[in-house]
Amino acid sequence: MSYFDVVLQGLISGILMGFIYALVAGGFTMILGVMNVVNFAHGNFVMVGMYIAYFLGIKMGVDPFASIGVAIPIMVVLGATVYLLTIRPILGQPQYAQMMVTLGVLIIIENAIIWIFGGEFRSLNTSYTTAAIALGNTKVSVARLLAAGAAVVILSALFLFLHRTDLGRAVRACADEPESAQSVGIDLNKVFVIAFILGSILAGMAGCIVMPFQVCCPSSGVDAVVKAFIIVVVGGLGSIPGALVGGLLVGITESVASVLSSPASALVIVFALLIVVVAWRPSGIFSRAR
Amino acid sequence: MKKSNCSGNLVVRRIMVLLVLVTLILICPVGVGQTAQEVKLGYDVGLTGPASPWGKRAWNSLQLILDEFNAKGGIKSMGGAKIKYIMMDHQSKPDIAGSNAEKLIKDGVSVMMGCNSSDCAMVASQICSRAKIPFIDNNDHDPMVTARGLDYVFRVCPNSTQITGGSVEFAQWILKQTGKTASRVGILNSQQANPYAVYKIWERDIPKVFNVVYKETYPQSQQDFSGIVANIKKLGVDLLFQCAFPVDAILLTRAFKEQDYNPLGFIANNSGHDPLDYIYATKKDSEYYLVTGTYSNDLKVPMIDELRQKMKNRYGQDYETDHSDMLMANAVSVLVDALERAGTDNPAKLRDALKATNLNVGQYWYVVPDGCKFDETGQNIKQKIVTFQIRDGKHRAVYPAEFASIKPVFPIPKWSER
Repeated sequence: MSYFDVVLQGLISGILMGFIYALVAGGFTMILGVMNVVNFAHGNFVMVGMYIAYFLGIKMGVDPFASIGVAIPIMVVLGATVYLLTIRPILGQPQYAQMMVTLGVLIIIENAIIWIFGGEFRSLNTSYTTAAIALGNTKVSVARLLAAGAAVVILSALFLFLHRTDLGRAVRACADEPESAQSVGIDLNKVFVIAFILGSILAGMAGCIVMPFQVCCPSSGVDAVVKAFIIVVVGGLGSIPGALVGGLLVGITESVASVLSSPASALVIVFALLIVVVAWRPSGIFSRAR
Repeated sequence: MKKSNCSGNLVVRRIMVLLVLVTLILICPVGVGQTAQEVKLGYDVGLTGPASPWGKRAWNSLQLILDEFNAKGGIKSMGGAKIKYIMMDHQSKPDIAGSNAEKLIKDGVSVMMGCNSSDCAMVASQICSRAKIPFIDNNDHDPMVTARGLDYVFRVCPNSTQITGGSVEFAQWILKQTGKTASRVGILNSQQANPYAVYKIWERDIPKVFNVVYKETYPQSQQDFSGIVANIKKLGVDLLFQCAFPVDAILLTRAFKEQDYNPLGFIANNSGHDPLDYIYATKKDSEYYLVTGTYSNDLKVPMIDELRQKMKNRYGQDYETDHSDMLMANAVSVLVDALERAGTDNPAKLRDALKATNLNVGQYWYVVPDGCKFDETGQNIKQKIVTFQIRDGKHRAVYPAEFASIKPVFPIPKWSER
């Protein structure tokens, strides 16, 4: 293996992980953009998706990608419940109050998972978990390739929904100009609940598609939300293309830095990227005027 | 007159007996003659989070042994006192381990056990030592747990210095046995407490005997190892030393297979590769891994089978023990032995009894060779190190010869040939 192969390996891995990060960040940025709520529990919605895929895989032999079909209705119920019981009552309250509430939701979900599944880690072994496609001297993980492909499809569908449907346009209108949207008859409460449910679905789907190659435990959500937060700040608050570009930037930076310097310094470099972007464009690369 | 004399003698005799009894009560050690009191044991363990694969098993083992011990009459020298255990889950988080320790001490425990996570043990043991409550560490390997000169801290399992020495010794032995040469050696560890402590020791010691061309640590949050493995392949590492946590042990094994990385062998230092959960998660991909640690179910110790069966009877026939169960059996043995000798749960006297521990395999439930004796820092210096190879989903002891139940496969087969 040459130096070029190693960098290429880092680049490929970074791109694949970048698409997956973008899917996680997509839901996070939608909730933030539309409702101006930083949902710290978002990572735990991803973790719930992982457990759904795990449970269906272990008990019924369902492939994690197929488990998306079961995860969607569960995430709709979970998202609607969390929104109606915890988010709606604190809308318009100071941001720190919202943060405390979503942190509370994070703790409740984590403990519910511990109660149901126990605290130990869980993993699935699919037929393609360790399969790889050779690309010269580099190897492309089949599980990550499938997950990245699914992430692209889901994000594209979301993009089309937001730009080609009336409901999607209403969601965007509420994100851009909530007062004007309300003045033309858009029901803000309805749009908020739809946005929150959509964000929850995206998180749940992300959880399902990473399960073939990831290990989950009740604290898995924390890493996901931290990364989503970085991506959203880099890409631009409330922007789906921003989440995609931010996800790719973070994924590639993290992976290439990991092979060129060290895995530990990769995190430092990702945070350095965050600082540079914030200094250059405080609202992120694809910032939307509010 | 005669009657009066008899009556007087009787009174004198009764007074004498009373005086003797009072004197005996006053001079006897606290606890002797008391009817079944309770000894409060606090157990600060991670049942959730990254350390849970170790914590859950240790907790199972502690309950099984102490329930049986209490049912059979408790501590004889304390009039049959029962050991009441109070468990708190530290969630694999050092700050919670610390607050648990504070809470347990406030609740009046006279001795503590923990933590199945070195980060957590560092905090909890310090708090116990400050409160002058003996802390018995059942399964943490960071040398610093006992190297800080804390008077109330005792570690029953070996520390990383002892285990890493065993892994390097094994590597030299296996290469000599098979006539192979490892010309380019690598070290890859997690940055969590014990794996990082192991890294520092290996970084110092392995270059003395091997040509180290790769040494790296990765953060706990590392999820994609393909770049790391690509680097290892590029450098042509032909023998890789590893110390990981369970989750990264799984992800790394998968990455090695995915990247088709085929060294002479993988030598792991217990931690993440030691729990059976690692085998359950990676299935056949864990085959042929060589792990240097503390225990293997096939050690030639008669009591092991008895304990394994008891665990199956209580936790189900599918339950299989690993080092975490058995190291807890050792730690409980040390505690019971010290309580019997001290005859009290007074923390200072219990500490003195712990310092004088000299247990052999077969005493109480002590199953890991060669027993327990603490040095001046509280570290067990009697326990031996064992290397096992994962074969057919089981740990099979391969080194040293006195423990070996099979001959190791080395070099390990290529991924494509398995």
